[in-house]
Order: sequence, then structure tokens, then C-alpha cells
Amino acid sequence: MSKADFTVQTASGEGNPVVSLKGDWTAVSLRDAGERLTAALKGKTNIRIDSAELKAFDTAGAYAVRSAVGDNCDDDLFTEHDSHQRVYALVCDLQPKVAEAQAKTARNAFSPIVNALAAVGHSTAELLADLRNLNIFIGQLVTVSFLSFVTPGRIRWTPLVAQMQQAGLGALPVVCVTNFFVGAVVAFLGILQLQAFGASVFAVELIGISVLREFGPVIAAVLMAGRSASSFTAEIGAMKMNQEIDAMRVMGINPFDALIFPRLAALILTVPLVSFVGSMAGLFGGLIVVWGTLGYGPNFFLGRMSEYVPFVNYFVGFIKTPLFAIAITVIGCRLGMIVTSDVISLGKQVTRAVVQAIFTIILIDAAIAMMFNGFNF
Amino acid sequence: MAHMDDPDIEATEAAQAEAGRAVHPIVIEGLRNQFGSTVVHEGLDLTVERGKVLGVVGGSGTGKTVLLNSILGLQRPTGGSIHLFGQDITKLSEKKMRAMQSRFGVLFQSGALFSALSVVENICVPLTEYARLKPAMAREIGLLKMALVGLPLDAADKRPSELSGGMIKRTALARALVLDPELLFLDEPTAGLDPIGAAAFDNLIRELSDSLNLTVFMITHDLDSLYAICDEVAVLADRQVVEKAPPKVLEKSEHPWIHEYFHGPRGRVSKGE
Repeated sequence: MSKADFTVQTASGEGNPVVSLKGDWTAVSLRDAGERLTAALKGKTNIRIDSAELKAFDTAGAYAVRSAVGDNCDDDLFTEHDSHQRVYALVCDLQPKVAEAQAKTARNAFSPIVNALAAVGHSTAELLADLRNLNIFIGQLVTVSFLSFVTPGRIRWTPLVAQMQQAGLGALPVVCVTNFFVGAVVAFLGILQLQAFGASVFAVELIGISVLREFGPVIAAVLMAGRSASSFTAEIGAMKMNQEIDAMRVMGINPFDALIFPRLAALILTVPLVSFVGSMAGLFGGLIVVWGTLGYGPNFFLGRMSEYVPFVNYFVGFIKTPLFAIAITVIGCRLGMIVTSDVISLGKQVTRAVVQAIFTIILIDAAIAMMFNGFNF
Repeated sequence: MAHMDDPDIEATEAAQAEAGRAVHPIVIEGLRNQFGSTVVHEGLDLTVERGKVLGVVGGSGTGKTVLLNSILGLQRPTGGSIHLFGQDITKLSEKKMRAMQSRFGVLFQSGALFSALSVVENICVPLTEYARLKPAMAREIGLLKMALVGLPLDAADKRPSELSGGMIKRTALARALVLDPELLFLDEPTAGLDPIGAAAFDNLIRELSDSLNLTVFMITHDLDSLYAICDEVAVLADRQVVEKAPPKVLEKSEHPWIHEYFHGPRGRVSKGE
């Protein structure tokens, strides 16, 4: 394989350039020979081409030659080599179309400012469409949930129980371990700071309130959002790509009944339970640390808990778990339903699902914290 | 065969076989493919001559796709040899295999376009891998290939998800042709196309193979394609190529599957009887 090259000679007297092509004029070995040839032949007419030293010649090479010489040739080219001539003739027919399309692209290229404005407009329109889509989704989900509530015969128990096991029970180990460590860390930090005031026993209240009110439910929900929102989007999105959702609709099965309500119900039932178990694990982590560093055993810890950590803390933590469940399911399932037929959109929606679900959980948590603060709870 | 005893003739035959491997783009000898206890191919021999369009037919499960994957190097055969342009592909180094891969193009059954890239970017993928062209030149060559396969050039910046089935096949064909390969593999090129689109695609393949002097290896189920564009048809059955002949000759074959294939209810319609 030799590089594509050429020489241009102007015969004395006549002034007509003769181009000798050398080497392989193929896509792989062309490099910048086409641009160089175009530059060398600019403004020249009555060009003659000598292809004696030309070895391989393909459509890419033919295109480069054709772009450079255009119609400024004296006679038919490559007459001495049959296959070269055929390739060149094929390319000559198509070259004007390509050049026109290329020129059109150049004409349609907007300035960066216009492009930026277009991007803003595009994303605004997309956001509005997304909000509309969200409203439609929630409307359908509320309708189906209400109907399922009124006529429990609609409920599909098998997927519901399966989802409870997969999304709920499956999340228990990771939620417990994470909460255990969070409880332990809160205890360490609390004891360390409170010791300065000689009030290290107050670490028990600190652990009890923070774990029951915040960490238990939020950590359970964030972990379940990472597990379930992504898997809901991926499952439903893959079904959408495979036309399974269309098949269901045609058979008279409402995908909200068959796919989305079971997931919603499963999470509403399991997120509170999982977060309860998680909270217990968090308290246990705190208990162990208090026992280890201060030497106060479980009896002291639990006694102080029941005396100084009012039940309302658990209530505040518990009340938000169904809301977290709704956020995870609505986001996960809705983004699954808007997956289109290509793989890229599936990946994009799964990522969006996890990010949006975690963001929404933190938002709900903040709103509820402010609300109960206003109630003086 | 009696004359096999003669050492001279044996030597000449070996030399001829050696020469054949060097001359023909595809030479398969004694191919064996086995998955667990299932033997898909056993003692399969097949030669494709330069500039010919070979159709490969066979019932479902006779290993057409396994054969293609073996030739492409996607699947290592259990036994036998496959020579492409005189080189045994099972023994090639990675670097030589890469050079070999620039000499053939493949059209997969469902197109296998990269969904993250636009039409013209898809077509230019081999160019950016193998050739060091300026981006504008690469794009122009991509557009040239689009024009060559009859795609409207204003579809250049569309995504594969926005294309119709016929356009996906044409885009995939343009991508297979972008390096002007000598050898083209087609896996059911007309499957999923309407009869008019399929006929147009057949014509396109025939025209391109004539004007670019391509050797084509085509798996197909489409009888119309066989008659329209194939010089020869190889029939896969009983783990081997049972017959390889022009379609007009195969019609008269005694082999039960081939007979059923050409004379079954769909076969007759195809011949206009």
C-alpha cells in the first residue's frame, strides 16, 4: 500500500497542466491528497491526467480527482484502464448531488448565537411537553389506583407480591448495613462533641431523634430509589422497545393495571417496613457505639430512649415513607414509558430516573421537615 | 478415486488446491462447527470465485449464520480451515486480521447501525478507523456512498431510529461499502422489505457488484433474489453444502429439500408458473 500522490507539470508553450497520479488513490491511503490536488489545480483549465503510475483506484480516490478537476478536462479520463474508468464514471454521475448537499449543509449552518437560542427554545419546549406528559401519567395512575381501591378484583396480586419481594425484601440487607453505619457514625461524632460539655449521655437522644426522624427513612428511600427506580425504567423501557406494551394494549390489558399499579402498591407497602427495619439497624449501630465508648449498656440506652425521645419523631419519619414510595414509582415508571425505540434513550431515561428520584426524595424530606417545624413537633 | 494412488497427481492436486486458495476470495475446507453435542457443520467445503454473487440458502437451523460468523472471524470453528484472499483467518495475527477486515464489508440482518450516530456518521465509521482523511472529505465520501446506494442526501443527519426499514438496509450497505471492499457479506438483505423495495435492493446489489467488481456472499430466503442476482447458489443441508450451482440448474436437483424449496407452493409462484 503506497500513499496517494501526484505531480503537476505544465508543458512549455501550451500552458495546459498535466497531472500524473501516483500510488494508491483509495480511501485508506488518500489522506490529504484530495485537498492538495484541488489546491494545485485551482483555476486551471484543459487539464490532462496521466494515470500510468496510478496503482489502486477506488470511489474515494475517484471522488477526490473529480472534485479537483471538475469539468476542466480535455478528454475522457482513465481510458487505458477499464475498471478505473468505470469507477470514475460512477462517481462523476453522483458528484454533483454530493457537492450540492454539502453546500446546503454549509448554508444551513447557523451562527453560535442562533444555535444557543435554538437550544434554549428546544429544551423549553421539551420541558413543557414533559410536564404535560407527567400530568397525564399521574392522572391515569390516580384513576387506576382509585378503581383498584374500589374494585380490588382489578388488582394483579402476583406481580404485586413479586415486586414486594424484589424491591422490598431484596433491599433489606443493604438498607440495614448502611443504616447501621450511619447510626454508628452519628454516635461517634455526637459523643465527641457533647463530651466537651460533659453531656455525652445526650448522644442517645441525638441518635434516637436523627435516626428515627431522618436517617432511617431517607437512607432507605435513597437506596430503594437507586435499586428500584432504575430497574422500573429499564424493565418498562425494554418492554416498550420490544412492543410488549403495545401488545398488552391491543389485548385490552391496561399497562397501568398490569405493570405500574403493582409496583406502586408494592413500594407503598414495603418502603415503610424497610425503613422501619433500617431505623432499628441505625439505632443498633448507635447503641453499640455508646456501649463501646461510654460503657452504658443496652438497658441504659433503651431506657433513655423511651424517656427522652418522644414517639412523634418516629411518626414524622414514618409519615413520609409512602410519599417516597410514590415518588420512586412515578418517576421510574413514567420515564420507562417514554423510552423510544433506540438504546440511547433507554440509557438516558434510566440515568434520569435515578437522579430525579433521589432529588425528589430529598425535596420531599425538606418540605416535610419545614412543615413539622411549623407545627412545633 | 483410483488415481489418488499416483503420487505425482496427488502432488499436482495439492498444488492446485494451494493455488485455488490464493486465487479465490473465499475457500472453506472441511469446516466443522460444534456446540456442545450439536454438530452444525461437518466437512463443509465451499469456494467463492472472484466477482461472483453467491447465494446461500438452507432451512432454519442449518447453520447459515454460524457459517457467516465463522468466515467473519466472530466464531472460531471447531475444525477445518477458512481462507480469505489466500490467508487462513484462524491463524492471522490481530494486526493482519484488522487489515483483512478492511477488505470486506458486512451487512447485518437488522442493519446493526450505531444508534448514537447519524446516518452519515455511521457510514464514515470505517473511514475514521482506517483512513486518515480530513473531516470534510470523510463526510463527502460518506455522502457519495449514500448517493451510491440511493439514499436521499437530506437524510444524512437523521438518526437510525428515524429511518424506515429500507433506509436502514441502504445505510448499512453504504457503511459496508465505504472502504470499497472486494468482498461483501450480506445476511438476508431483503428480509423485512416490501416486494418493490426488495426488488430495488436486489438491483442495487447487482449493479454495485458489477460496477465495483465485488464478490458477494449472500444469505437469503428470498427466491426472487436468487434468480435476480445470484450467479450461483449454495445449499446448506445435512451439515454440509449439498449442492452449489446456478439457480436454473438447482431447480432440477433430486435432493428432497432443494426440490421442495424450488417446487413448493412459494417456489412455483416465484417462477411464474
